[in-house]
Amino acid sequence: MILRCFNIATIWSISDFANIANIIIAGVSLLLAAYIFIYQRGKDKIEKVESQQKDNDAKLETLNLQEQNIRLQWFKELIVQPHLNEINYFYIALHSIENKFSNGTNSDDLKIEVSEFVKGEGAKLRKSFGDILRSVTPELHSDIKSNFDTLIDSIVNKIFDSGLNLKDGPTFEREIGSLISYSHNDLISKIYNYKGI
Amino acid sequence: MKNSRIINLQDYRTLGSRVFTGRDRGIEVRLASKIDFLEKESDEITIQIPDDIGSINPSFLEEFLLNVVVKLQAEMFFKKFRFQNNGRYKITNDLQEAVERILREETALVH
Repeated sequence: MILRCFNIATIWSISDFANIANIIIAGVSLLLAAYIFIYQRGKDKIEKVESQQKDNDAKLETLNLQEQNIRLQWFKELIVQPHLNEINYFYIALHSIENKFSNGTNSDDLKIEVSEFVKGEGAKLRKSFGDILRSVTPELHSDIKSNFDTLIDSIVNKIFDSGLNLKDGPTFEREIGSLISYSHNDLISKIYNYKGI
Repeated sequence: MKNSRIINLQDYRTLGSRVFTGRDRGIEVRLASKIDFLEKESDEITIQIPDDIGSINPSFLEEFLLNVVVKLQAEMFFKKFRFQNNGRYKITNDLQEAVERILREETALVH
């Protein structure tokens, strides 16, 4: 038996092993080439789909930007510009109550008259400017409504605060004037920061 | 005979204050006075305003009267609710403004 094995070993020469190795290497190379081909083809497909998706996203983003610009343009032309005078008038009117206090007697009648004036101006601006905002941008409408309500409530509270002498200019400025300016700045900031979305 | 109730705002007044302002305060007084429940149980409701009150702002009234105005709408609301107001301050304009605001908000939400 051992002799037979030796016999086989003598039949397989080194070149036979080399040939077998070459066949195996060729087979592995072929499999590798096939794998790379299939893998690359799949990768190309994915890249193509991704590239198409990116193109679509870019187109969509461009469309959204265009729509946003159109909305901002309409917002400016139809809502802000036509009411700019009313907004400015509202704040000027509120500042003017300082004269009512400095010329008046700080009586109950004056306090009621001034608070009615302040609320009346607020109602006018709400009707002309606030209500239009609601249909266009409910979120901004809500912010601006809150701004006006806070301002008017604060002014009315200060008017009926018996501890304040609103006839005194610096006191008026500190207690009411600053609130009016803050509200005005906040309103401008909110409109300026509106993105049209 | 009509079943009528009274809500006296004096009971819900902040000590020393002569005004009712703010949405939060409106909600507080709506809940404390149980106005929504009283409206269901009564044919007529009288809201008494203290004589020395200087202002009841629309922001307060908007929240205080929200549910009853939405339910009754303007015409029925003004029939059912009476405002007793003997002081210098008159609530008419503020009430009108508040009811208008409530109904506009409601219309915007429906559409």
